[in-house]
Amino acid sequence: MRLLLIRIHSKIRWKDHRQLPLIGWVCILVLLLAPNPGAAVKPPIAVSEHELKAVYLERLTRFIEWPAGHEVSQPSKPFVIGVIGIDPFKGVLPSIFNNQRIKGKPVQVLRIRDPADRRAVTRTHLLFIGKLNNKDLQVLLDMAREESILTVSDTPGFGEFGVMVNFFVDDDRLRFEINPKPVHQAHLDISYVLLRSAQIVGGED
Amino acid sequence: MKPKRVLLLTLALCAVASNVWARNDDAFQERLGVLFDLPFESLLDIHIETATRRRQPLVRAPTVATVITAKDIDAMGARDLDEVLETVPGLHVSHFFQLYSPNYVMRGIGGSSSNQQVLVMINGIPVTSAFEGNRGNLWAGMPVNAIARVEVIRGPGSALYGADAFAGVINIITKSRADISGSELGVRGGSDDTYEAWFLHGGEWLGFDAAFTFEYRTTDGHRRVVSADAQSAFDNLFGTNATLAPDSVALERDSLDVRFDLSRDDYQFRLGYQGRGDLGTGAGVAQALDPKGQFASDRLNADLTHRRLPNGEQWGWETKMSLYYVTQDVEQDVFLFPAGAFGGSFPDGMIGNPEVKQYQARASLTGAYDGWSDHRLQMGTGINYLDVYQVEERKNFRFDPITAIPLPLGEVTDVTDTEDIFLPEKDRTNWYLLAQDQWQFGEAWGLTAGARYDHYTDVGDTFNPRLALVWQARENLVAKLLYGRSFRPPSFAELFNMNNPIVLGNSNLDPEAIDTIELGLTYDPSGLLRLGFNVFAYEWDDVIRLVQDAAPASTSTFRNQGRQTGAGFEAEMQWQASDRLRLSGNFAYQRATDERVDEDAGLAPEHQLYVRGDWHFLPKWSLVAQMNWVGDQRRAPGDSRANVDDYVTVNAKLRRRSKRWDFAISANNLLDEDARSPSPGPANNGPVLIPDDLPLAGRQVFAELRYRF
Repeated sequence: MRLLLIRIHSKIRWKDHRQLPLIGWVCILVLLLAPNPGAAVKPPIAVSEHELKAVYLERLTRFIEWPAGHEVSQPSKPFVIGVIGIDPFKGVLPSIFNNQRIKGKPVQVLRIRDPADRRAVTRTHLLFIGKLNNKDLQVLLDMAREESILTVSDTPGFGEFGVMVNFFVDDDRLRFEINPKPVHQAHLDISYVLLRSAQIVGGED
Repeated sequence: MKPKRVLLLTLALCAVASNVWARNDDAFQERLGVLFDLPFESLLDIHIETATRRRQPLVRAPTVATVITAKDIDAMGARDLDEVLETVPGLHVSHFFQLYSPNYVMRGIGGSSSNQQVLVMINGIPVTSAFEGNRGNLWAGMPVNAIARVEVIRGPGSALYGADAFAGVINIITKSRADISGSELGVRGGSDDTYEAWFLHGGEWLGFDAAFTFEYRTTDGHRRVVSADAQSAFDNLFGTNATLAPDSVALERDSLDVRFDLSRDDYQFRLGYQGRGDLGTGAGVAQALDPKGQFASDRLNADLTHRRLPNGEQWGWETKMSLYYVTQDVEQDVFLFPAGAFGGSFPDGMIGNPEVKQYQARASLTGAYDGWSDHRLQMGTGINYLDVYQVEERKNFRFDPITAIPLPLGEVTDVTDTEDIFLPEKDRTNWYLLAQDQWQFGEAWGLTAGARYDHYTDVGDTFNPRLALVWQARENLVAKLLYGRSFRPPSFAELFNMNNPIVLGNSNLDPEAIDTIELGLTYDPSGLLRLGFNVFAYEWDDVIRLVQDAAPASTSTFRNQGRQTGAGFEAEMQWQASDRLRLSGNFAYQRATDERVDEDAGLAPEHQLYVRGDWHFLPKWSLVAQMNWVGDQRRAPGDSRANVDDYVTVNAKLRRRSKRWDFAISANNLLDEDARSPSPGPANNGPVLIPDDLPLAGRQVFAELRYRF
């Protein structure tokens, strides 16, 4: 390989390219001298779907604003993620969020078995809804609307039905639908940056 | 996909470190920590591991690349692939006089004649005409409604893609079911009697994931005027007045694009048809205006892909078979020169109707092995068969073999299977082997080394290596150093053209070769601003050119002659200025030298600046404005004309989007700038045939409506 590089170097006559403007080299220099905010980080090749979904749960919250005075803005309370229906995270959500914070707060993960358990559901700020029947789903969505709970799912059709963010897989990448109508009904404010990356579903808002 | 994301992905592909997959808690937390720290845009491009399929691209590696998604294409208001490509840093779309075929000029390469130095693929399958070496002069554009994304690699790609991945690679991925949720119906109409309609559908059909797209377009084309043409030059010589100039160029055309995409489990089958009809001749096939002649073309493609993981997670395989069928047909007699040409020898005009049919069959097998820590090995082999199996010609002239003066045959005569035909029927077989290793070493370094060996039955062997060193210097700064060698085999026209007064083939041609080195940097100071910069230099050897034959012959023959060197840089930026405003742009600079004469190689802009703003000023409303400056289009050596005038075009699209209905108004070249593409310089010491260059479209306005259901 070294030989190859030497051969190439000798073949390309650099004097021909002296006209390359100084601005190019200045750009390189500026980039190399740019401030260093952290140590080198190596992104992994590919991750399991449920881990990526978990990461997205945190990421979504960066683009969502809860109404003024909501519990989410109280620093003393943890951020509560509820999981109901079939759990795609295979029970590892608590360990994933063990060392992570959401909105600067520690995270508590709540496994909810009964959709009618209003007390548990209304404790959550983000509710992940696994596969569930439509009747139970509707009950949950009504509660979410009233209590400003961000609803997230990964079931085809749930976005249209009224879940705010619904994951799907496209070309081996995780994508999501957003249904703006329930978001607004729950008085949540959603960033355009998020909408821009989403597939918009649901009725007119 | 933006460069930063490309880089992260690239790095991701390089990083096959066993500890990443270790199921101990430290590694688990470390991996998650990396993910939690990634910018949002990068998350969108993380590949998901699934139990049944782990589909990372099998043949993909560190490069300088740009990916434009369907969403981007729609936002910018592009109607045709050419408008999309013009926004790519270092890529400029100029035009060839015949039918105004697009020349995808990358980094200053490809501005002359047939633009064979860029590989264009649809779903990874080349759409190169074996006859012309480009997309075929009847390519006539490609509508964008069925396009899921366009991936453009700048720089050499032969180590992976083989022939013609010379100055760059353009890969067009069409929509599959996942890209079309439900159905979409759209219509668009506007300037130059342009009407378009499309229908897209994605859904389940007989247990398959199915997608169907239909796109129809008809247009009269812009009618900008050419003041003088080749016949004007002959009129001066013969003292006649046969020229049709000044008159408008002929750019009327109809197109129909239909595609099916079926997939189930690990199989994917695609079928496509691209029909082109009523194709006006542009500025004429011989640079003499021809408002009557019309071509047509049918292009059919089919491919079957199978991807699988037979041995757990260590081996991945992709098998692909494809067929591509292309025709060049004449609908209306094509006038090389108008009535009264050659001192009145051709009272009805000089008519030549060349028709070609070809098909291409390709098969490939690619494997990737992930069983070694820190390494990812890829290997592949394949065979391509290209057959120009039917060449027909009807014409009313033949050439005097000694003087090369056209002699009238009286009426239009079929010279198929006679010695007067313009091209013999030929075929070509090419097989190849490729191997590549991606080695991750240290915390932040990746080295990719690969090579491909190609054997051709007609032009011999070629070996094309590549090396890429990628260094993630910091979390938000990636540097790469790339080297690659690429080749372009001569086209059948360059090898075998005959019975032409000017252009003769040469069966002794060697492939062209290019060595390129690049240094690329991307910097992501915050999640909202991304910067990219890369600098390149190349040396292009055995350039295939038309070289004038020794007197008394008036012909020129294709020969490998001389060398071109070049260098330049591209800088790009994307900035999410606010929730509602996004600014992006790029600047490209290049200089190229024809080493035979030590002069600028010309035929490409030296500077190109593109700026775009996306403004979502109300919840359902958006305005996207684009500006494109093309500067210093120099002439080729031997062409004494002043540079083509610089030009600035401004495009804008205003859109209202709701759940089911979209309405948009768009304008191209809003300021009605007199933009021009360079016409060829003088051949064989003759005059310049179209002295005032090729006029491009003026202001055009379109309205469109879409309905999703």
